[in-house]
Amino acid sequence: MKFLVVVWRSKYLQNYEPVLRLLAQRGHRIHVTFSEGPTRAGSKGFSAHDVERLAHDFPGVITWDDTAPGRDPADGWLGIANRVRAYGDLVRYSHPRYRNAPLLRGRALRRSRGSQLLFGWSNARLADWLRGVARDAERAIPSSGRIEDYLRHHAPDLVLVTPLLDLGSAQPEFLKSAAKLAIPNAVGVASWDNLTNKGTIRNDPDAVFVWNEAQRREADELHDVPLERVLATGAPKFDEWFARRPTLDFAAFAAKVGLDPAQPYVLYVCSSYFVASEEPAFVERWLEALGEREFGVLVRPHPENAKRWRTADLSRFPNVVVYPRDGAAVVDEASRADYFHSLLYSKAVVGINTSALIEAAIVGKGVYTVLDPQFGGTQEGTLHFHHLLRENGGVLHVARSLEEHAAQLAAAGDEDTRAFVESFVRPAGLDVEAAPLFVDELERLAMQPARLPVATARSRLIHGALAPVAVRRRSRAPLPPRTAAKQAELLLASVRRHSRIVVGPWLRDSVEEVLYWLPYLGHLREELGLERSQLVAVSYGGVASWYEDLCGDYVDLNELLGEDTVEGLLVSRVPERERAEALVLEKLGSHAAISPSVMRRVFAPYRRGDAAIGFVAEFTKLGRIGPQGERCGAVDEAALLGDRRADRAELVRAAAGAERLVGSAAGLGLIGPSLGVETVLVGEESSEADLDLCAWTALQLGVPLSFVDRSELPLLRELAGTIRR
Amino acid sequence: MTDDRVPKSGSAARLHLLPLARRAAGSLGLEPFAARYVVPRLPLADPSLDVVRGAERRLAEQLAEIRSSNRPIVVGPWLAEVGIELLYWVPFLRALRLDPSRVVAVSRGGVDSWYAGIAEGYADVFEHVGEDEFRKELSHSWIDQEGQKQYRVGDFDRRVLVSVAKRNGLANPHVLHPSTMLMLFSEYWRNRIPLARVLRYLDIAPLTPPAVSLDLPERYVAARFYFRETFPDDAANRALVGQLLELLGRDLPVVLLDTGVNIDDHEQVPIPPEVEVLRPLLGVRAEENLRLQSVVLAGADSFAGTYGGLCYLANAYGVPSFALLTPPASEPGLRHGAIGRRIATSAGTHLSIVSTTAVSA
Repeated sequence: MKFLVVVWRSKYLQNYEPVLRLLAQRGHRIHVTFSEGPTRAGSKGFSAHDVERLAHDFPGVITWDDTAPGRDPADGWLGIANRVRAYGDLVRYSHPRYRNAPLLRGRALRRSRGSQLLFGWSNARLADWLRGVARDAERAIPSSGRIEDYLRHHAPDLVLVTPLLDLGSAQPEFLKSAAKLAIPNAVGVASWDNLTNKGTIRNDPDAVFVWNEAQRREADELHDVPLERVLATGAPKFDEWFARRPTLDFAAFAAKVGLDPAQPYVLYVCSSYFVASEEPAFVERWLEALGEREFGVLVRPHPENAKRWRTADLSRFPNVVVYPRDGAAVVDEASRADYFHSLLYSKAVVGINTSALIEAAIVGKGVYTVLDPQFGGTQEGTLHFHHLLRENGGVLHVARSLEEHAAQLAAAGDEDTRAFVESFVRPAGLDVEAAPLFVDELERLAMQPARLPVATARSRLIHGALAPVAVRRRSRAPLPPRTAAKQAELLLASVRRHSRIVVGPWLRDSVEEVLYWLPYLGHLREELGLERSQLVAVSYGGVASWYEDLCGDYVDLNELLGEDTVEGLLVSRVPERERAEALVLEKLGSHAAISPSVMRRVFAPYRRGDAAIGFVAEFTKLGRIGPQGERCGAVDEAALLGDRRADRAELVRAAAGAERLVGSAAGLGLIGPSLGVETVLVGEESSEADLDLCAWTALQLGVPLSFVDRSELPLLRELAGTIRR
Repeated sequence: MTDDRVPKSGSAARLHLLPLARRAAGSLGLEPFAARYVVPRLPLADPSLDVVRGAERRLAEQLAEIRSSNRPIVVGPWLAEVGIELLYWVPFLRALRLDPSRVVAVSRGGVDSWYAGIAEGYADVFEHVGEDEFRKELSHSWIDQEGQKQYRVGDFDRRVLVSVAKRNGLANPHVLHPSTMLMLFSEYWRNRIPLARVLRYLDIAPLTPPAVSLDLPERYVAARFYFRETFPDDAANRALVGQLLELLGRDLPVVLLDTGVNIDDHEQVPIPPEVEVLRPLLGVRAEENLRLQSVVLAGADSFAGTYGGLCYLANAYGVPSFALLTPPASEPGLRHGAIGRRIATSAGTHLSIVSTTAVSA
């Protein structure tokens, strides 16, 4: 059989790795496709590298791509579908059960750009009725032809979609199209919180996979999925914790992480950014409240919220260690062993609200929390937290104050958590693994006929109302890339009349500036007949020489705004940067400008893979950027300042004088060819569009370019040292 | 000779009225109006898309015909470069998911293992024509079709297909000729359509090595250096190869893939006598030369050679490649690199492409 697994981001695949492996071992073929491209290698979480490792273990059996199609904007329904889904997810939060969940409501409001007024009524019957309308509105959206083509091409026996429930997710498209093509389809609910604090299921999948009976009831009551179609198989991602055995003893592990082996330790498991954005400050407060302890503390940062721990200083607390400081996703043998040892050897486990508390229960640890006002919205203000409470059959020791909590911890020890673990993680029995049950069900479903799409009177009515809107939108569908680029050019043409035209301000990284912005300006100058003397370049960090051929004048933002401000803006969000751009234009008193945002819109189709290099060639004019004097010696990127720094003088100087630049394929190495410097790109996962454009630029400018794996650098250097050409 | 030529798309000279229209609009101050209401209505669509859509339509028709019958299917004959066969042809056929029991792959050099899971039948061109005749026919074909790529079914292709059908008792087979795929991808090589459009038609996966055992060292570096347009015959390149092999040979024995089979335009780089190398494949028969090279590559710790198809073959077996290239590269070569990276990633390895200028002192 062939299974198509549609995953939003690769991190969600981690939850299903045991399922995929077992499917492959049973002789099935699996193709995985990502809706938003796999998380980059090197980032925390199950990354492209891990997906590739999985595929490598089953060559030709597990395959993947990162080009899962979305709905074609030209069909007119894309915007409508997005709104329907965003509002559909928002209305669930109008139910009184979310009255004490202001953070969840706030998040749904932000994502949908909906109105707070909706929560004013907070009436259960009205909320249920609205949920029904949202369900029929989803039914009213026709299946996407583009996704149907993709499904026909892969011809799977079953489509499994996960996590589906992200707010406003477009993943329902796959369920809809699979149903239309009579392909059995199912939803994998990725975690214990997904059914209560994210979006809703509004399709009619053939099955919804959950962990336990409590989630079955949630699927029924909160998502209107009939109980017979909700399958509680347990949590496949936790199977490994039941079978794992330690490979280090306590003393060796304590020595490895830097704890005193003479004392037991409490493990503090950190939570996600949404749950605890300012966790280091809380942990300091928590440690202070614990006072003199007879145990050490191991703080384990959340892999997706570890950034704040890099600079956290807990050295004033004795026998406290943050490990691993950069956070570590549990994706390979080493990280799994580390995490398991952290749990196993702890005296007790403390956390705010995280699935690590469940993992701790699996290895028989007592789990503790303190209800802190800082986390009111993300502890009791979330529905899934209540699953862990003792009154609901959970195992969590809850303290109302830090003092009470400290007393609980002092008396903590291993506990019998089996009843909770069985009911929550392994409903078929403590000894029954979840992954085989999951796979059995997938095989059964793939053999059954799919449920065909259902239309109700209300969904027909909604379709009738929305179809004319879609037809109108179809005629306003985005222009093809070339047409849009030509249109942008023509709209800019009116700046010609001005004697002083600001180009910029540039407030982004050097790679984009050199690869896209400067060649685009060259093209515009030629195409619109702009004089060099008319143009004033505005950039930062002393790159005047890069603009010398194009612009008559150069203004440096470091001087205009100050270096610290520029540094802050380089890592700021879009609105802040846009405000800064407006401020700069005001300061310069300019009435005419060519904004980088035009260039970004023009090349967006290329950068997202919808247009070829030939399209970029049509709208750029290449030339070696900056002074081209005598060059000597090689410059290693490591010797330069990193990107996103306000001071780029060293970069400019080095690039102008170097004979060769050795740099990252994911960073500054990419600018070498444009600057006329022979470049050795050192392989790292990088933007395919940027890498291709860099290689193409090198070819057009006649600049030699090499692409080497980091492991080959010594051979390259040795060879360079021995050859005399 | 490196064959990177691709056919020109039909209506390349579409409407180019825009500069004229802009000047007119500009003189009347109507540019914003023209931008909003005229430009979107101009026929600026890329003619390359017409070429691709035509090729996609023809492929769909051909597949519909193939799937509506139970007749055997001959895929090939593949007579061109190893690189294009590995990067595109094999992944293309794999993505089509034809019934392998109906498929006979036709290629050369004993590469049946490359088609594992795609075709249960395999016919080697060298079973039908001798090495000399193959070389002669191929050079005629290259002149005839203006390059190595089989953009149409040439006389030699026909002759091979008839002979294969006859010898294998294939009654009225469907033929899926490489031209179907080459037309589909030609606009990609011309930088006119994005990679995503090509990837729809490729299922990239590692290869399984042929089940043949050779007398080879336990660990070794495989190597093959030949001159070509992107690695010309000059004293510097000759010296570089000698020096590289000498460096590699310090840690592990170097096994050269040279076979002595001369069927393409690749002239071997002479190896200085003082450099120790093993040449276990010298004198092998043409019909097994690529199979045996595959065995050597699959068992190697790494591969070093001229940038070309063998780098990708090594990668497909999970073996890292270190390839030399004298700039400039070619435009289609850049496009091949994007697929090559995917092959390497799929097999958990890497490809380093090193400009010869990067190792000059």
